[in-house]
Amino acid sequence: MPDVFISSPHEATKDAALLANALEHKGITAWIDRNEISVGDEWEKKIQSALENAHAVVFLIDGWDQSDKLQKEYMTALESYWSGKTRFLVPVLVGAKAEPPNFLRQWKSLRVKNKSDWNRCAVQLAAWLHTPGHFRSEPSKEAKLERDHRLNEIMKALRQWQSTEEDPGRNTLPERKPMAKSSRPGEFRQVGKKKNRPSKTRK
Amino acid sequence: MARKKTVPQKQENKLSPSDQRNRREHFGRGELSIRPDRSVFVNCPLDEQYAPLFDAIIFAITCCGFLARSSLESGNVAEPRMERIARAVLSSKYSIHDLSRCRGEGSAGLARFNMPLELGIAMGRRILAGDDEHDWLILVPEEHEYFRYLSDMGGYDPKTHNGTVESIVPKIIHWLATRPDAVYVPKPVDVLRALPNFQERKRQLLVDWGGEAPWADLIRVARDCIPD
Repeated sequence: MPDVFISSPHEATKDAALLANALEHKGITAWIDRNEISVGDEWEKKIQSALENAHAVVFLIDGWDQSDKLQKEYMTALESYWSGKTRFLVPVLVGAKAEPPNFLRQWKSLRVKNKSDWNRCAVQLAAWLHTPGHFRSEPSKEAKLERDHRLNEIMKALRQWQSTEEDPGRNTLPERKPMAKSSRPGEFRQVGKKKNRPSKTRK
Repeated sequence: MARKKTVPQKQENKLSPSDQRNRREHFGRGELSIRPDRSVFVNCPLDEQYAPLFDAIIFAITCCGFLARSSLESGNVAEPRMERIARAVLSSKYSIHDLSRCRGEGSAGLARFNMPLELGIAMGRRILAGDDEHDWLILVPEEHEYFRYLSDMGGYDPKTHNGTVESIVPKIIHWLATRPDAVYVPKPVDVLRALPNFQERKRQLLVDWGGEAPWADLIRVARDCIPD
């Protein structure tokens, strides 16, 4: 069972190796897919098993990567934390501008701006790992307010819908133009659409 | 006698057409629009046996700050059902599909294929509009051999449930929590704790409306029952 599972986008593989190396120096086992998956392995199952069995999951974030692989790792990590298997989640923000995805905003994050920061990161992770028990993520007031504000907007729109009996999202789709018969038999064309006919100028 | 203040016509005309459109407080536009990135279309059985799971899905979606949409939402019966469904799917960025009822039923052993059909519409939207425009969660019962009749689904990795609300709610919350448009989501255990309250309020709502309540009222009840 690894102490830490490091989830990283493909572009951050080198950073993941740097962090794994720094953790190994502190006596902490780290799991990264590059080292653990061989050709012919059922990689998805192997990742899932490692993720569910790790004490902590670290997410390297250097932008908002939406690859299916990463999103599956996010889901599995959250599931593992909420079911009590994983003790805590840590977003590690790579660079000055990286921001955690919304579901990780309630977790304490670490920021890495240069190479020496990886060691500082490993020291902090080691300290957290040596603290017994499960960490609890407490949502900020702002996070709850943001959701409530969004729900209020939805309810406002629904109230309007109820009073006008108009379908929500009706106007989010492009309007379908009526079809009219073309001059050619059996052919239809969109109303208002001009045909690109060759000019009839005489030479 | 006080003179009425009138807005000079010239100033009104200075607004660009798009600004004028956005100023209108009309449903579907401006401040009152339902954005696709906040809508989740629910494609699941609508029978009595599935009703507790359907309630749980609607409630979980609302708790995550999204608007649940379904084929039940429109009272406009003049419009063909398929068109209503297609429009709801196409104006939602997210969709949840439970393929539970695709197995033989009754003496004729017929399977219902509405759900794979609606999943196909969602897939069409993603293929045509791009990966970022639509995302779905597929649910199947445990040991369900969906890959035998929907072999093209191989690789889509459906999530399994055992037909209980305890197994379905966490799947939905884990998925919605990790979408790019997510806001704060409560823990599944808190949602499950609040679910009986929503079910009771919904039951009362149905009694008040004689068995079929407006979709907006149902969502409002779900909103009122969200745990802190």
